Amino acid sequence: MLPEREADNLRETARLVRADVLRMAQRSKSAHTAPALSCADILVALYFHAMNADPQNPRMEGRDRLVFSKGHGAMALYACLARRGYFPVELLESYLCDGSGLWEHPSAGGLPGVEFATGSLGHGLSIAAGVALGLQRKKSAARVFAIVGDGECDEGSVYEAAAFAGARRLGNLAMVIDNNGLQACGLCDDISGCVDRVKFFESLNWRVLEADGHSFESLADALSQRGPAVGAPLAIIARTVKGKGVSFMEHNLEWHYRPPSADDLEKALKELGA
Amino acid sequence: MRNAFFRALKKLFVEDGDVYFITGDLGFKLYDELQAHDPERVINAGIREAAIAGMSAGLASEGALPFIYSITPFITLRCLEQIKLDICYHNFKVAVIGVGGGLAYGENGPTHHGVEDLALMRLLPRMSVFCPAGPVEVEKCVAAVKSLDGPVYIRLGRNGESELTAPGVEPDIFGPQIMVDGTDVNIIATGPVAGAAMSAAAILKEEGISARVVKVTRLKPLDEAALLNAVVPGRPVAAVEEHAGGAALALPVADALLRAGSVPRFAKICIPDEFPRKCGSHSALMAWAGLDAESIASECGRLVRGS
Repeated sequence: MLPEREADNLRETARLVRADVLRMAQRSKSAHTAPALSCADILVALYFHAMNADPQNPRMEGRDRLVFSKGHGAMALYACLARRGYFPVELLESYLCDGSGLWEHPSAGGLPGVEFATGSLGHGLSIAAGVALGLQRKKSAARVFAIVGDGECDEGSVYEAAAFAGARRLGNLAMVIDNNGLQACGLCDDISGCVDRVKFFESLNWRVLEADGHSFESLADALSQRGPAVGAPLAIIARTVKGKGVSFMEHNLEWHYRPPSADDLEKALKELGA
Repeated sequence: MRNAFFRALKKLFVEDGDVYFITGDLGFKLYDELQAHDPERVINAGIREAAIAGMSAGLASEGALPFIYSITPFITLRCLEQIKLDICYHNFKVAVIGVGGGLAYGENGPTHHGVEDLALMRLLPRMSVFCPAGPVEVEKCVAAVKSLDGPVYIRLGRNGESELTAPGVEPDIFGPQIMVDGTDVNIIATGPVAGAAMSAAAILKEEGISARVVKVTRLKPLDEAALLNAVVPGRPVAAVEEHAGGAALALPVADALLRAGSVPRFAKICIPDEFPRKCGSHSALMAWAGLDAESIASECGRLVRGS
């Protein structure tokens, strides 16, 4: 049960992360604001609550790993890492600048805390499965987490990774699906039909939980459901809202693409109280 | 070039009821007019490129002419085997359209850079390969699809590309086309980077070097006879491409020259054999790759001076 004070702290951190995302997007005229906002709370729940990590020692052996498969949400990842202390918050101002280490999708070997380059969808769960295998081989107590988009689940490679993980009993693997119902060109349900993701992953021998992707109580509870390292991997289907936190961006596909103007930023920050 | 593609496709789509547009969840708002005209033939198949390539083969087998579309690496590398076997091996006419070829997706990073596509598509039997240099060439390539045998790959830029041919001059998408005449060095180029090659020729002219710029849009089949005719004989050759390893243009050009018994001093000016470490816009990354006008001019000057 998440103590109230900790939940408050997580909510405050998420507020800061959202403000960072909005500033980054406005300054750089970047796409992908709404996708970053939808996974912000999941990232905060991981980096500030569930994951064993040391920002001063980003490659610490016993650390929990995160594979951020939904690479286009990078602004939220960077903001979380900065707020967690992996690098100075000021570095966020270099997002998308020529010569920066902060690309629009996370790069390989570029930043402390970023484990893998992602951005071509459908890669991360396979990578996470391999990490899980490697951790089992070392008999490590560490977990590997993967954040996967719901649209991303279109890719066949997600099925391949999921089937493998279930078959190989990668109980130290936990996937959180950012289930906001929208992808680049429309509703997931319109493009791929109404997929029952619970049944889908259960059929591949995963343990599946549903969570409110914007409630730290719900996320913390789901993330704490840890089975044996050799056992069923965990899938958390987190109900989220694309653009969460800014009323005029929520569930609005335009904001997948449209960078906030200075006016938009001001309105958004006011809503956030940032 | 992306807008030119959709303009040209719409014309074809309205004229020909067999044309399908299939996207891997990309092109937001760009295909709305196609959708309004005939939603049955517009499919957002989702982020599943291997399935799209295979499915387009099946559709083609039933008489459709599918145009399959995504960002360059996703519609080529991701589903290469499906293109090779399901499409090319069966010789189905499918138009494979890669948007944002080369480094055009700049800040998005290496996951979005399509720098191997032209070589890979060239390696596939029966595939025609086009790397148009500007918007009008894109429209011509799209219009040409129906008259070509078998599958076609067209690499698009993204947006903001200029028209490279002079007003009143018809762009040639099938054979080599002299864009700037000259006598001292041959610069052969494919795609929008031919613009940088032309600017390089202007720089070289100031240095007293007369460069001939030859643009090649259709990379496969390559009109070797016309190419050998287009170059200044005996003068150095630089091949310029927004592609890895010289494998789209430099290697086939060198191959053609060597087999014809021509062994000029040669340079391939292409994306280096490494991933960019630092974020950059398209133009910043082109400079990193040595594909900006100054770098091309410098390399060609070196070729001519023999240093």
